[in-house]
Amino acid sequence: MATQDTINPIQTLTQPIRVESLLQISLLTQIVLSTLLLSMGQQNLIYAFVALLLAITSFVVTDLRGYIRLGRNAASLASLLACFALALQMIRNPESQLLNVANILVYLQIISMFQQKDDRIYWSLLALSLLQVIVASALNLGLLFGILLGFYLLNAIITLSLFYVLRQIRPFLMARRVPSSRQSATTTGKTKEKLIVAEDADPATQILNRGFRRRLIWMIFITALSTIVVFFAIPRFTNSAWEESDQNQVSSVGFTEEVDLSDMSRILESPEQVMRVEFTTLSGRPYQVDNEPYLRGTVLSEYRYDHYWRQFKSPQSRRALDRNPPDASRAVLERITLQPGSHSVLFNVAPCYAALNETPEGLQLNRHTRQLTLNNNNQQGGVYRYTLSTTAFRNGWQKDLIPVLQPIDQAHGDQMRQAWTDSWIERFPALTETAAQVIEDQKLTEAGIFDQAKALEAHFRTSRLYTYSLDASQNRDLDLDPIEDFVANHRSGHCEYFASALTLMLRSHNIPARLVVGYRGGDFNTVGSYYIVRQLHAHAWVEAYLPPEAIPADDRDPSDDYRYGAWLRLDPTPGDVDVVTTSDELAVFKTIREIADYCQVLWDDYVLGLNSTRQQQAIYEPMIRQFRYLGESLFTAEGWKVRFQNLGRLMRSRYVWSFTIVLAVLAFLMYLFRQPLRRALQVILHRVPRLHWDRQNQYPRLDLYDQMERLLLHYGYKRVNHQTPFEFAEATGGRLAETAPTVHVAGVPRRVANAHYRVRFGDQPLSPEEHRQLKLALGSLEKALYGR
Amino acid sequence: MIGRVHISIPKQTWVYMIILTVVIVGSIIREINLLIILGGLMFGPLWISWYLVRSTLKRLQLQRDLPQTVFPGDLFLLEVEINNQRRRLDSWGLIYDDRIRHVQDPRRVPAKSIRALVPTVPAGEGRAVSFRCRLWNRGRYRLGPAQLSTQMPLGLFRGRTIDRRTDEFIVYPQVGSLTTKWTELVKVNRPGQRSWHRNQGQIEGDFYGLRDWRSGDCRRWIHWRSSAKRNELVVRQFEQVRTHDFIILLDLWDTGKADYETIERSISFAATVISHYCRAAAGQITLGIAAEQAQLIRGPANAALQAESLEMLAETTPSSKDSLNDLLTQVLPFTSRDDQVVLVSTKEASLIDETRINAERFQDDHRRSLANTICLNASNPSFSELFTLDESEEIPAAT
Repeated sequence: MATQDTINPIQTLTQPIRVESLLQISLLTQIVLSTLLLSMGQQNLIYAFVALLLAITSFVVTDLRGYIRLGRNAASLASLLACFALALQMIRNPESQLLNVANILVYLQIISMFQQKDDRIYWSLLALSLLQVIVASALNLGLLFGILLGFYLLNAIITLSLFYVLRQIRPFLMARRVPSSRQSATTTGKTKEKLIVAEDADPATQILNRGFRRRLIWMIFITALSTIVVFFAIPRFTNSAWEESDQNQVSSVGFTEEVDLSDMSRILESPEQVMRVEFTTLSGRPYQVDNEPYLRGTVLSEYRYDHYWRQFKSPQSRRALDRNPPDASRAVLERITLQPGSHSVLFNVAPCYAALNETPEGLQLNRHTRQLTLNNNNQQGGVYRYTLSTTAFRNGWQKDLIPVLQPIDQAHGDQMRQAWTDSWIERFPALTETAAQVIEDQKLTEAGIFDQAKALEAHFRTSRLYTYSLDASQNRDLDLDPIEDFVANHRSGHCEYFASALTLMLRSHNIPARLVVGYRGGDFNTVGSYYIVRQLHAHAWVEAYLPPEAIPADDRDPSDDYRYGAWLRLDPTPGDVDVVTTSDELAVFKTIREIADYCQVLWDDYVLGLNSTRQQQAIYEPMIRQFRYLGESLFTAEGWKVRFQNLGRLMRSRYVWSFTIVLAVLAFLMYLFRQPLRRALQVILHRVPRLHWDRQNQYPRLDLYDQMERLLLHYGYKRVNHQTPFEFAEATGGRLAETAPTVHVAGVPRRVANAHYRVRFGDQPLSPEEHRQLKLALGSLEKALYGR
Repeated sequence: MIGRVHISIPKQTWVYMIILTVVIVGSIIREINLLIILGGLMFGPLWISWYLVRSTLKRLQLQRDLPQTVFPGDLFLLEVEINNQRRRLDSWGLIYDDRIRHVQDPRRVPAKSIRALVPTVPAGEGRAVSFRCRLWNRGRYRLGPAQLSTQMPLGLFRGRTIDRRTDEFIVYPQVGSLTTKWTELVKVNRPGQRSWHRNQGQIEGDFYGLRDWRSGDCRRWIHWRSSAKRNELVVRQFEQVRTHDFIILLDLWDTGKADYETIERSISFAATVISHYCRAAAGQITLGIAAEQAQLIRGPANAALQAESLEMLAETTPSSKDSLNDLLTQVLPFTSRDDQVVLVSTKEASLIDETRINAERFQDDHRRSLANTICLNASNPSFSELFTLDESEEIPAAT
């Protein structure tokens, strides 16, 4: 009577050291990942390295060895100091508050890492890590951030799961330490209520099994899916073509808005990306361009004495883009994404028009030069996207003739024509003479403008008198005009020299011409069907004006309107040495690079650049279209008619009939021989080699035998390695028979071992009654061992 | 079948949800797409947790397996089987919570919580958890309602479901051994003890049953009707009754002065005496208890009476109400002057001098039978010498 009631577990639990260590490793990985994300946002990876170093150190000295464990007071003091430091930083540097907050998060995390881990510390570390990622999300934009965020998710789910498992197990371990023997009991039943536990085996091992890992993968998959749904379902309200960027602004190594030929330095080719250009049809399919597209930028028409090419300035020359191309059915959409930088010039394939609903506001076109610009109020520095439609292509080729859509302004015409007076002849004697010589040599004095222009272009491109060089510093005669020097003496230079010389030669023959600076070609990505245009693709060429009567009939495109004449594009730069973009990399690496590049594009377009328009186009409209199509095909007579027609066509095909008959015969045979087939499949599956760790799950097992082994182990009967289960049962039974309290249960191990052999090797499961009997026997064994 | 699933939100999850709300709202207002992604990443685990917690607890069934009666200090197994009746989804990290409550005296015997972690219950299968129990307080115990809860997989939600069914079992009073002092006491109080046997009709002893005829059997014992039916001779068998009826009266009078030990000692003594006589199969036994109500049980000494008596003793509770008179009213019609009557009381009590036996309703014969009553005061230290309670002894549970 004077004894405490006890209710004790049947079997022992092992310490979940493995779970806790796994949790600590997982948590520290998460901290390092979040710090890395933050460091990427700050563009300073030192934090990430420090976090990695400290994470490893804290795991060893705090979690494993326990050498350093900050007490609560010390940790609070350190946190206070960190907050004080934050306050100071905020006062000193009020502009970058977000970075200050990020820093304090790192400090607090480091302090927590060196504390002894309990639930509160684990939660704190998890929360701090999450906050770090939130801050990092506001600082990062790159694809790498997205990939790392995916890893962070993976790790976070593992960490949370392990943390939960640990929290679940820990109370049961503590409860195990409650004394259960009667010797330690107090009087009567009026003792403090205690938590009583019962376990079958080590729960950590049971929870962290294959099923757990499978469920983890499933959770990650579902989380990724829900993330995609949430991301695309949340409506966007603004429709800005602008986008924040974490990249530096693109420097102008290649393209310049004005050409300075007095610069004698060597031009460097920069692989820096300037823009991405994608050509599609109106239905959204990629449009293949067979030649390298010319993307017009600045149009320069005035060559000054200080060797500068300048734009034609006219105060009232800007206007909005035309809405409709002459032949809309042949229009091609050009989608251009400019990298961060100054966007005073918008590159395009001319002629360009506004694309319905896709072209952003604020685009202006110079009515004389057809140069596309942004209005002054709308020039920012981030990524800028715009879509235009163009009729420049015919059968995949960019046409040389660009129709003039309105009469040429007199002043502009004069400037381009630039009366070739004596002063010009004095300044460019060799150039004038060479031009005249070329025309004369080819007997084109009486020929049309078109032929003369082409002849002059060919003079540079094919005569082999000129060489392409990026080095403008060699053999220069500084007393001469650089163009005159180029034509008369060294005959070597880059595209600007060629284009300038041709422009002036054309003008010397009274052909209106202008210099155009932009980009030619780019790296074509076959995966995403777009061009990556880099600084090294910067190019200069010439546009010569052809009045309507000078346009040859063969070169006219019937769909274009040439009543105001056309601009003939002339590229005098020798083509074979223009831009070196090919590399020696293997095809597989090229493909990988293109895939990576395309991923970046997708990230930029559909993640960073998802605004209301894009959401409408990429998600809502296709969905509505699909639903509408589904509705039409399901609920209209026409839809069913088409379906039946298709079915009828299929039925008439003898291949379909043959295939159906073979399939039916196979199905019938499988049904007939289903039992042998099933057995054969089982045999095959059993013979498939598996990994060692998986073998335990391969065969049926009797859980009662495992229970018995654990029970006997608890009472000191351990199965040694060389013993079979049956030998162990025999040996244990003998030992049990030696003592009076256990003699009546001496046969239980043998019974359980027999049943185990039957299930494991005979593949004969126990009936419920047999199972129950064995359980009762195990209960009596437990009782006898406990009362011994 | 277990009831509906209740889902609660731990405070850490509230913090998580607040952060998630801030992230989602902030990302929508500022249109920071990466924050929307982060919001989606945070929403995913939340949704999965809610769904799995809810699904894990559905279609589970609980079944307890426990003995009906146990002796105090006896080791017994309480087994709880959890069956997952779903076809697909396994249940993970289930926590089984139950309470064992003392029905009669929950204040004195505090309820005990029992808890078990069930790591997995595969779909369509069952898993059992076992508890090794040893209870020392007599009485009726009730298990349930039980609760199954889980926070799998991430601990962001806590789901629980309750099985309102209860199971009961009885812990008998502790049974010890009678000492020689008791034997002497009984002898002293039965001077001139003599055996007697009943003679009913022409045949000695009570009718016991039928058996095959053996050589030497008296012809008068042949049961002709049964012999005719079976076509062989069958004789009646008689049991010689040479024992005395034994009456034990238990007066559990408690005005708050009697301590718990005295009451329990008196009950254990009664249980010991009953068990002793039942094992010896000694005549008729009558057990009367004067507690809140007078209770009486009477019958031939055997295992069934022992179990019934122990059950009654297990569930009895002392009372401040004096119901000994009522008990005597019930008992005396069954007494005769040769019966051995023992009164065990928690106070000093005697039936001889009491006015109660002078009541008109008692016949003289009854009074005479009470004259030899052994009155025992359980609060008296000498009372403990009549029997011993060996706590280390394990008495097999009656089934």
